[in-house]
Amino acid sequence: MTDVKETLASLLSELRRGTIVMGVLSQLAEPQYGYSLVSLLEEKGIAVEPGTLYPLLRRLEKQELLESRWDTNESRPRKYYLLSEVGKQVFAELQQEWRKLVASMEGLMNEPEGGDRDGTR
Amino acid sequence: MELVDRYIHAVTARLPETQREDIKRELLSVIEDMLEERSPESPPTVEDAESVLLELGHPSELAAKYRGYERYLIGPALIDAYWTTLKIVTAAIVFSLAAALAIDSFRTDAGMLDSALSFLASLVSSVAQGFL
Repeated sequence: MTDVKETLASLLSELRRGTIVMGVLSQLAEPQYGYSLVSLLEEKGIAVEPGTLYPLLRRLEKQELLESRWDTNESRPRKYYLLSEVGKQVFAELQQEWRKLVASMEGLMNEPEGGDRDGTR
Repeated sequence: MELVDRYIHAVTARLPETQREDIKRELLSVIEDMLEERSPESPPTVEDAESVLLELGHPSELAAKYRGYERYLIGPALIDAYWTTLKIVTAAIVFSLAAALAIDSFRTDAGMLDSALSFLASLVSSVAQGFL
């Protein structure tokens, strides 16, 4: 017998992995540095491991969705990330797609138990 | 802190040289941020540093995330073709060496044991070559 909890945990982590990029993009209309972004997302109920987030930020920068600059005026130099023009555009589209997806999923979830297997609702 | 330096080195040593400096700088700054959050007043202890580094994960895993891909000798796209080829090559080697052994044992009067031993030796060495 497979462990239900284990299966669920791995499915959930896959689901989260798919949404984390959107979560990150949504918070970068204002510049943030790595650690402030972790705290910001956590505050809003999206827990992200720092070991996942920092490499992700660089990847998004490489894909030209984010821009970055080093701020050396503070006590400690920090790398700030901000949505680029391409990033804004991509995020707007992603948002639309996400809303569609949520609506469709809601439709599926609200079907009566067992769906409409016999063709009569 | 030495522990942090060693950790950062272990991560960046696994990364392409062009990205090393920047990732090093960024890692140091985020680790310092994390340390500061753990003990805002006093200087961080070794225990704080350990827990921060544990949260970031094993250096080779973190480096893999920075690289964005895992390193393979044979990637997932080719592994099936690789196995198929390997099976065919191995079968061909075993078959042809067995044929050679059979012919050899008819042709010469050398003892069966000798031929069998040299058959085994060439089998091992050719299969090893087959892998490459």
